[in-house]
Amino acid sequence: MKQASGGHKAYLANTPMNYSELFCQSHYSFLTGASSPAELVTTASFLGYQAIAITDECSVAGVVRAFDEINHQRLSIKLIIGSYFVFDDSLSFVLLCPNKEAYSELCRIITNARRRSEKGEYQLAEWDLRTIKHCQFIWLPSGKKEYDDRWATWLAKQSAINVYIGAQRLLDGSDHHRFENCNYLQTTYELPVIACTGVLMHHSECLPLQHVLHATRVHTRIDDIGRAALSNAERSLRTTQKIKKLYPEKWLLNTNNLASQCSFCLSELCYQYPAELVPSGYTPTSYLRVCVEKGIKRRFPDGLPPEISAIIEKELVLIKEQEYEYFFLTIYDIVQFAKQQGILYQGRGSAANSVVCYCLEITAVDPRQINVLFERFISKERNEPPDIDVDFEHQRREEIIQYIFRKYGRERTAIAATVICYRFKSAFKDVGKALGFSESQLDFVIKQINRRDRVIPWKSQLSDLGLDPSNKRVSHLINLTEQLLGTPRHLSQHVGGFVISAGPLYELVPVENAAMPERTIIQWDKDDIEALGLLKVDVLALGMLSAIRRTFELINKQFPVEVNIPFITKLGDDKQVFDMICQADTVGVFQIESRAQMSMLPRLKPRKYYDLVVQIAIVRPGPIQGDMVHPYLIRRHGNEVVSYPSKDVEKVLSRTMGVPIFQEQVIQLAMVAAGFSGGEADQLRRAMASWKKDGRIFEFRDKLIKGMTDKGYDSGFAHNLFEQIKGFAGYGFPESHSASFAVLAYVSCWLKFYFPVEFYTALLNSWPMGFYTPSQLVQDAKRHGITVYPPCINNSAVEHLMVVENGQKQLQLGLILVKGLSKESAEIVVQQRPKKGFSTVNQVRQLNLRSNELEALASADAFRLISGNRYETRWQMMDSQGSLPLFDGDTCYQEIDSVYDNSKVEKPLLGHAPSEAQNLLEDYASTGLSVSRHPISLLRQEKDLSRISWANTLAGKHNRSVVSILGAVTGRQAPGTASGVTFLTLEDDTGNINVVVWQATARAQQQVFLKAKLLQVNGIVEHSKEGVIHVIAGKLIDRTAWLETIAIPSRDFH
Amino acid sequence: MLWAYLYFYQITLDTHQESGLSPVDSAHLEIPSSPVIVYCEKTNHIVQRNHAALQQGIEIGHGLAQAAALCPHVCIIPFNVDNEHLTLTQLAHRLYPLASDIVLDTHNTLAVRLDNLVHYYGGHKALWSTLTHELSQSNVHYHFATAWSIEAAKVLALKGIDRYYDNHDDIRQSLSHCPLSLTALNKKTKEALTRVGIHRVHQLLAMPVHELGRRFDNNTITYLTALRGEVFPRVKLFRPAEHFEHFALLPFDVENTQHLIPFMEKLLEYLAHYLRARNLQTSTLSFHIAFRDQPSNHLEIKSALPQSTSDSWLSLLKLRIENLVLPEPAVSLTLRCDNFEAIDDNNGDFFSNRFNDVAQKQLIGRLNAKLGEKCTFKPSISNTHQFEYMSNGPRLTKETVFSSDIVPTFLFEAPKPLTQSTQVCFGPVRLHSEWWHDAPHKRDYFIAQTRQGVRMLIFKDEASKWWAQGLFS
Repeated sequence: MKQASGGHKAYLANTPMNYSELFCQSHYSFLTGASSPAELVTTASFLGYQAIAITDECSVAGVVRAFDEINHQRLSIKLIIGSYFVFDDSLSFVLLCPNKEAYSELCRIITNARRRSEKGEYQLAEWDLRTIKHCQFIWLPSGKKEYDDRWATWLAKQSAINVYIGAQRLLDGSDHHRFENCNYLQTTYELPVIACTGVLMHHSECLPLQHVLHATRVHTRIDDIGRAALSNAERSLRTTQKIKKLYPEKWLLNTNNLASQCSFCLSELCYQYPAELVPSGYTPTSYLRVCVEKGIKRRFPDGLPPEISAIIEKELVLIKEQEYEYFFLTIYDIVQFAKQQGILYQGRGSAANSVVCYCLEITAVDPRQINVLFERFISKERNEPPDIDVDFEHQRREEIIQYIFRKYGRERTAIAATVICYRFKSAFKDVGKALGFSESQLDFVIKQINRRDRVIPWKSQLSDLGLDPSNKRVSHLINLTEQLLGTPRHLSQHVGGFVISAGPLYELVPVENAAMPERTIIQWDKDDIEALGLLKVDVLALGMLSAIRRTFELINKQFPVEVNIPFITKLGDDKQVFDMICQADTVGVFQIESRAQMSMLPRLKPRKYYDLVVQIAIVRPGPIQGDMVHPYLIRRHGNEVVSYPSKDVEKVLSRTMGVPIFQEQVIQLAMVAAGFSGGEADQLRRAMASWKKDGRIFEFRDKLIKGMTDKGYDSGFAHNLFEQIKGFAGYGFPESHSASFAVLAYVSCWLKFYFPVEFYTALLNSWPMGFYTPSQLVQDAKRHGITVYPPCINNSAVEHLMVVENGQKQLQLGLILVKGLSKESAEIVVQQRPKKGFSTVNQVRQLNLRSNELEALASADAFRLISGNRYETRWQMMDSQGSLPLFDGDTCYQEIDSVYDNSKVEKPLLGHAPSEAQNLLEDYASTGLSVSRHPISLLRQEKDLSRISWANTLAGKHNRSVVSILGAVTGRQAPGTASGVTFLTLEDDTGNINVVVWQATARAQQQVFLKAKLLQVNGIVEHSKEGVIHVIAGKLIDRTAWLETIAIPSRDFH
Repeated sequence: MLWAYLYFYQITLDTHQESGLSPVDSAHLEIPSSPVIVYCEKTNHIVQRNHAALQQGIEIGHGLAQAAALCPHVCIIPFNVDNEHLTLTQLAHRLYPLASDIVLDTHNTLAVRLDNLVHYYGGHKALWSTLTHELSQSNVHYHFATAWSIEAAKVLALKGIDRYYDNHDDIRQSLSHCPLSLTALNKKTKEALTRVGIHRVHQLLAMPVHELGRRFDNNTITYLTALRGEVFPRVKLFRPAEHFEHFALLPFDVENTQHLIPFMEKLLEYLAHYLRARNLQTSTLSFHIAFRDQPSNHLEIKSALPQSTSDSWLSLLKLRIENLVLPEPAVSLTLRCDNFEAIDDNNGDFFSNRFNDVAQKQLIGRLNAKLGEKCTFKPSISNTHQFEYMSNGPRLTKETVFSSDIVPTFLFEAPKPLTQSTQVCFGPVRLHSEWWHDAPHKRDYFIAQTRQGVRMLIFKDEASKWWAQGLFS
């Protein structure tokens, strides 16, 4: 008999306080558990439990949260790692990990079960059970004799498995059956019985939430869940006194003995970096030093300044102390691969902006230019891993991912998970459905609720929407929605966070399938990885990097000196480039191209690199909601004296004129002004990142305000800071990221200014990316005097080209722009093109392209050099006789031409040609843009528009004069930060006009405001002193009828 | 040949507004005359809208968000193709006695062959006015046109020509100006033609057939010949169904069951009309009450004796309606009847001999109708933990495992204070109340035995008071 050790007396001596819950599911058992791992461990500790096992269903996703909470709160409770499994209707069990081997075994079993199934599901095989050697097996008998006897016999044969029977006392009327069954199995098969609850909630008050989750899981309403639902709240953490009354002493004794055997702790997990990165004969430290020294020669060819040298030494010492060499070497290896392949990349994050990273070529940000000190972010005290994200060209990131998989193998590499949690809409909808509200009503309410309304909270808005909060069901809806917010719903794939390990990853953490084929994710998200000190490498995609690399390629073909990012940054701040930026001529560049950024540029007037760092960070919802923009602008232009409440604060805020703009500054303020320790500041940082999800930030409110007032700061200043922190949360930008982005922003501006044709060509070739459509980019290029040629069968390549004609650089659009023409077919056209180009349409027909592709080329007017109008050409292409066998085979073009020469064969004629408007329509339909005419310019021919002011003439109008403008509505934005104002962008053939529509104006002329695609606005032109031109809308007139069928895409806010 | 094509472009809206009620009833029920739209969820388009909605700027093809932004209080009717088809079939039933060759084309269009009817009616004018007069009884809006083929008439009707042509020149003239988008050519063909500048029907008809044949498939060519009226149509003609089914979209969401009666009465009148015309009667009819989210409610009404008049059914219906509880507001009604008996003098004799049987059925029928099915239920147990709801909750399905041993044979309607001494022989079983029904409370249940040997289900509440819930047999 497998008898648990220990004697009766020992048990008595320890009771009543000793109990360990060995079967407990958190809300990571999605739609089953109703409490977080943190709530479970905290409550269990409060109740005096000796240990608690977090045993989510085929998952260890919640264990790190529990582990983290125990460490942070310094709880005196032991955490046992385990997992609950359902094999089939006849068998369910819990596996617990007594030691590290058992943990690896558990991870392997979960991985196998998960990898066999679709995302989110699992399937155990009997083989999995046979391989259990180290885990403790708690069998939860089904209560059906035939099943239980069969499994008991089977389990008895598995000598390696330590089997315990788990007895649950749930006061549900069936306890006597369960207990009888356990006694029978114990006696018959000599298996020890342990007591367990099968906890699903930390407190009995969570029962309604558990019911809602249950109803959601089985797709029913609360009213209909019936007897399948829990009848009471006994599956919560119960007091030890109560437990003692519920179970026989012996079973409790067995339970504690089993718990005491489980000594595995997550801190034992020793993450090992892949060792192959360090060549033999080197230690990680010495090899890192070699790599850095190599980089020093490249980065500082004129010699290393002594102060930089000192910083490098300091950083290397810190890296060694924290044993982060492998991390830096891993990223170094990846970026070296990217470099070899000519893939442009850029590192960002606090650690990325260190001198070591600059030397390792992970980043191009010269550390001398910004004030981000590396050591501040690799803090020994906080034991926080360094943060480096690397952006790669979006079109080539897959090459990097494949390299990582190839180099380390799929067993050792996986992507971090992202836990998708209930947000307001999903929570409200699921709770509402469970409570029996109709879906249409819920949809209506969700659409109508304005969550951005700072005055009326959403709960109060419900009564206006027909839901009376005093009604019991509505009050349940409100309370349960609040409870459900932040509860995990499922695991998803992180955008690019890779975890790479020395051995098989599934021994460290379970791996499961992601929704994307051939991708696997681990069960932990980035916070968990961080909490356990595992390091992840973020491999992200950035469109602008593709565009910049392509621009460099075009430039470097022309000049002997290589132009690259370091080349441009070394030239220092260029006055002309900044002039361009100040005029907001930034369509297509990185980050500062959006409408909001563009309207801020003339006001902030960036004149140097660091100004761009601020510009990028300041036009974000965080600083805007925290009301930081205006004070910064006033101080920057010298209209307000900058004062600091203390020297400490001055040190933190001096570089941003006393206004906290970066996330780091807020954290530092908490440390220097409110006396937060490093660890607390770290918690604050995490709370800021997730406050929308869990609202934990409010836990810091009192401490922050008290800390500051205790240190003699004004309470207004303290309250203000907390509001700013809230504003930052989720939206704030770290300075280190902003610094990296600013480099790309500056480089793209520099390229746009000095090499516009190369820049637009590369930008269009990198599309989709950025804020603007190809049509808008081409319009902008034309406004900069660049000649743009439409796709042509003889002149275009597959991609867009820069061509030089009479010494003038011009842009030749590529065949790829033709809608309906595949890239492969475009390549065939280019490869098979005779040297002198195609001379007849029939030559192109012989390329065996599909007929619809030929027709697409015809409609794009790509045949205009060799054929008649596009209608005729398309009609010709549609003729099925043209592709009869006569023209198949390898006959050379000359022969073909002689047989089917246009002059000799009766040519089918349509007899009509497209008008100018039809040509324009065809341009848009076949390529999405027109290089010939703008729709507005056609209207000008048709109508008398002499009273209309155009975009390029507005600057000449008197400030506050009345104007009439006309344009296609290309943008409608109603930012939540702009309190009811909608910004319209009107595009005419000379440029874009920004129109401000106040809420009252929009409401009074709602039909026109919402419906017009071509809009005339009579309003007042406003020139700000910084040079921004707006038209404040008065009368809106819908001119859509003028366009008839010309469709111009409009980004609506619906 | 001459075909009329009728395009009922707002058939759902018409059914909605054509409640069939007298103005007095409408006023009594406060039927709104506000903006109404018909919304197709699948395409997120407004497909029909009334005049009031048009005035608010709502147009066909708008999305719901745009419509709601233009008019926040607009009344929305979900588009349902089956309902439209049902209404169209009703219209075809109306027309069938007047014209035999009817083709149901789509869910809201039908074609009627006219050339073979003209001489019966004594001319085009008389024929057309007879048909339109019949349609006017239904209060539906439609566009129409006549032409030499269904296809040609369809193009003209979709354009909203609303003209009766009986000579070919007029038809040709009118057809030539129609845009290609109105034809039944497939989307791909239409696009191909548009992309070579062919936008109007006359441009297409002017193209030599052999040129088109080199570029388009046979279906296109077949359609073109049909458009020209050069082929005899192969169509499936409408035949009236052998059962009665009538659909009515309610003009507003009906919460009060009494408000359903006028609409049901209207449907019964249609049924009576149907029965009278066929000399039939029936003893069973069923109403389907449809809701927005809930599955539709099936209301079957039986009469011990076959009935043929609306009044006799109405009295039973009223009894039944009294106890009807709607799970949510009703949106439409369908009356269906498919068991008929011929009215025959012999039937009367047959029934008179079975008076007792009839009387019993009649009684149960009336009791059912009057008191509701709840009162005539056999004893059964519900799918709930809570004893208070065990007799009147949702029925326990076979799949539900019924594990507890403590359900007594007889449950008290409400718990009674425990007044006699008992001895606990089983328990505790803890039950938390269903929080969505009551204020939350929890109870510990026990099976106890009195000195007299009576076994009872008792419980202790949170205030430690003891109560009796039921008795075991």
